[in-house]
Amino acid sequence: MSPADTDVRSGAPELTAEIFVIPGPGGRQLVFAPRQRAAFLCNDSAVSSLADLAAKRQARDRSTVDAEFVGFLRSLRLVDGPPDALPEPDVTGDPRPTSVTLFMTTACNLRCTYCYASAGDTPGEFMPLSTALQGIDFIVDNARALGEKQITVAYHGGGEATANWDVMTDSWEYAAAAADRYGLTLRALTATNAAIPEAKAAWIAEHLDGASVSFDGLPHLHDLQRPSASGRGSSASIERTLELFDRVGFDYQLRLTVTEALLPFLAVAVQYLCDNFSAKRIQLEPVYPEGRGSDLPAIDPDRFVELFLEAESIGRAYGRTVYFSAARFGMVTRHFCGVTRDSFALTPTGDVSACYEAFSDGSDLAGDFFYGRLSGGKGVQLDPVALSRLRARTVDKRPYCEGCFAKWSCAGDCHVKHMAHEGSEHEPPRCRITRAITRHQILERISEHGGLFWHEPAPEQS
Amino acid sequence: MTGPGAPEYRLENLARFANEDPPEEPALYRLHSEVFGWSVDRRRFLYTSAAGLGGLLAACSSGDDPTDPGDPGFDLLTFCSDEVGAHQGIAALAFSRDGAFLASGGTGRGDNHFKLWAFPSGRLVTSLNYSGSGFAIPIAFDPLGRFVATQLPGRITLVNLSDGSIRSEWDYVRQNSAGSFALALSGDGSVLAYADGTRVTMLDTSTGGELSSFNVSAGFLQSLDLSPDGSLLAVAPYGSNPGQPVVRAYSVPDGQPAGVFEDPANDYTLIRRITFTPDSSVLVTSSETEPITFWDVATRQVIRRVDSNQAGRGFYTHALDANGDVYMIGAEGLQIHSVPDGTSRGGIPGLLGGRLVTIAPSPDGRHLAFGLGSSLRLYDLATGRFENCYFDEPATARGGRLSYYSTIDSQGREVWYTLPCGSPIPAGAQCTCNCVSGQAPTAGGSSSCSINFVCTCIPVVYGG
Repeated sequence: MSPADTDVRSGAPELTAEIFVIPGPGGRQLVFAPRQRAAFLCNDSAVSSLADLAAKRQARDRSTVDAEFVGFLRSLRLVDGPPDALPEPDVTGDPRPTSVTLFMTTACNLRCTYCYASAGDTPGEFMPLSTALQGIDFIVDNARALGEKQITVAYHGGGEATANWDVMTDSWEYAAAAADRYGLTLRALTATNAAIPEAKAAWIAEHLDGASVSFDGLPHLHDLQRPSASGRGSSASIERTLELFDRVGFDYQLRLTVTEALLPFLAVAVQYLCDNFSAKRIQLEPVYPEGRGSDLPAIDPDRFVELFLEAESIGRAYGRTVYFSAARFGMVTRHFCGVTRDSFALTPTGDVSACYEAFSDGSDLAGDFFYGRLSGGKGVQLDPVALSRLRARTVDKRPYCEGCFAKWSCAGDCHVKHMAHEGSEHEPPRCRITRAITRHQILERISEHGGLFWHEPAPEQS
Repeated sequence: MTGPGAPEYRLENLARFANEDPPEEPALYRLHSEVFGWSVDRRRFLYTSAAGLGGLLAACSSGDDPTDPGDPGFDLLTFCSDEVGAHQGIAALAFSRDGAFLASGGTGRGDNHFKLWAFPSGRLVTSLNYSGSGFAIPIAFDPLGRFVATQLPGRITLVNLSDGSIRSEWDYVRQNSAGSFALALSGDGSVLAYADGTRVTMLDTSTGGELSSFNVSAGFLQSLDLSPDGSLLAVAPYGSNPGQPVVRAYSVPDGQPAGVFEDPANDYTLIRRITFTPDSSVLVTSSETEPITFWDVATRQVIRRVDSNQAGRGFYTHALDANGDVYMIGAEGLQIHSVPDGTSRGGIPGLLGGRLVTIAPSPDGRHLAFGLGSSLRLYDLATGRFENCYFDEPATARGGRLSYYSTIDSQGREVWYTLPCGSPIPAGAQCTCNCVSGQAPTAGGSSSCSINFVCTCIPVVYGG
């Protein structure tokens, strides 16, 4: 092969993609261009050539090889390609949400040892029906004004949403009627502990479109970690609910909170869930020291990664998706969640929150995540300063994340968790987990694509 | 400023790569996904070809080796990684008594859940599919060699070994829509026992008539076995708390309680598999958290335990051969023990499994079928060497890139091998390389070269 065979363009090649270099297996370097969705494994010399390109230095006396290498980089659109752009435009203007999350209550029938909300420890707050209906009216009006075809109503905690049963069911009826009246589709979701009577489970399965169920996998461990208010285990009740969901084909996902006690059994637990239940998605989250779990020992992030990957492979063998919320390789986004794009959640007292963990005006997080409240009549009274502050939390504006290769997929991770580590010189455990899993996902993607490189340009770029 | 302790992976800020003049040329490395991690190929030079894909296709269709002709060879084990799929996931394996067939039960959604393979050729004889969510599908061979039984959700099926046809099918009402499954046949194949969730049912395999059916309220059942002498059914709920029986026995065929197997030393036992020895005198249980345990069936007492030598971990699974030797996969690889006296009969230390591992020794004791993830591998038990891996194209994951070829071994049997995309294809082999899309006849006219997954193969080609 001669140099003439290579596709070398005239003029100096220009590195146009944002490149990260990650230590790879076998002492090699993993080159990753997240916004061009490309990666490959190479030696130090190849990275050195890339550094030359980045610094616009003259190629050294290896012109043939470098030209071939540049041709390869060009085929991946890393050289002389379109400039990397921010994944999404800035969020501007008044929020016009077509989805609402209703924090139904802080009351709960369980006393989970790690509950971030310490649900049940204080007198319960219950959302009145009028608040739920005003929130629904707001998103219906927005959907009509924007010409959207769907509205979404999500029933959430801090406590157990179904504990405010009448408001939950009545507000759903109201939303369904409004959607029907205006030709909209209603999508309704809930997060539940599923330790609920069969009649409630049947209603959820019949009326809602999906649920996230907290279940810690193995019954005996679940019972230790998620006892009822009376101290009894809740697994039997939850398994009955899941069996009902499975019988009728209801779409739900499971969430496991991984404590030190559960960690050694993580893969076993996932296999148990796959063997016995039909949830298509299983979320594994390391316990976080907040709320009732403030004094729980943190889990070793490296051990979590090892066992997560084992559990993930088991789930994959069953056709299930096992995931950790911040490891979202493949996504290219500035937003971890709705906090930075006007997520619209209502507390029982009618405050507007951007975060699921800021669920009541008594929450320590209210000052960080509340950005308005329902007005006396119709609509929402916004706090523009708070809203601007939230919108400015996107990952591209976070100094800590600038040099991280995972930033465009994790998008800075959960804002509450990130805030807890601001100013710390120590690597946040969740970041360590995210990077390790994301690195593994990049390698997997290369392997799936032939072992040499991965390149899947986003549809709009191809 | 990125703040204290902030991660730094940006190319432009990695000083160690700036102004370096290493002696090497830029090179890419090929990555292989292995069961236990990653391996990286030896360094190969990179070049982009003006011919590119066309050159590769031309080389393939002409029968030439499109890869480095100086490649010293390949290690088949390296190439039988998870990407070579027999199932989306493998939940069960068993050999027929005469060793002519190997059956596998899958887990994956959309995969063929039951597969019957000719042994040793690896030819897929027949398969049965269930279109719903993933389940661990159990299998059991008729000890008299007439059929193999499997349990898809809501249906028991017997498949004739003579021609792969359906012998019998019986639908049953499932206890729940997911449910755990387990299946076993009696020593003469006349009684079939199956579990669905917490319910156990025994059937007459000649008529499909129900002999008995009862609930075991202790929890989901993931393993059961019928004693070869036809007298006992043993079931193990998954997860028995301290003080609860590890195994419960029932008489056959009426399903009356016939005692329990209790272990005072038992903590929380996650039993994955229980099996009777061929003489029905010993019951073997394996658990992920406890030593493998041998029980005297007559007294229901523990005879002996074998520890995995790793605290808190037991054995992922076990299997028995016709001689009563037990094969165990744990943290130290495959161990083989004689059941009567507990002596070690060797093993394959490097054959490590995970929690989704299943094994089956061939009846002649010469081969071990090993299922882990999606790959179904065969090993020579005398040498521990990898022999082959079975392959089913629909079960191979997206991006699966491999060649497979058949050849005739020294005993005149057709054997299929699998290779990764781009591997040298042995002379005379019938090849199919699914690296890029298309199909072309080879020069000899007897081979084809269908090629898939363009994105993985262009424009980079390896060369020397």
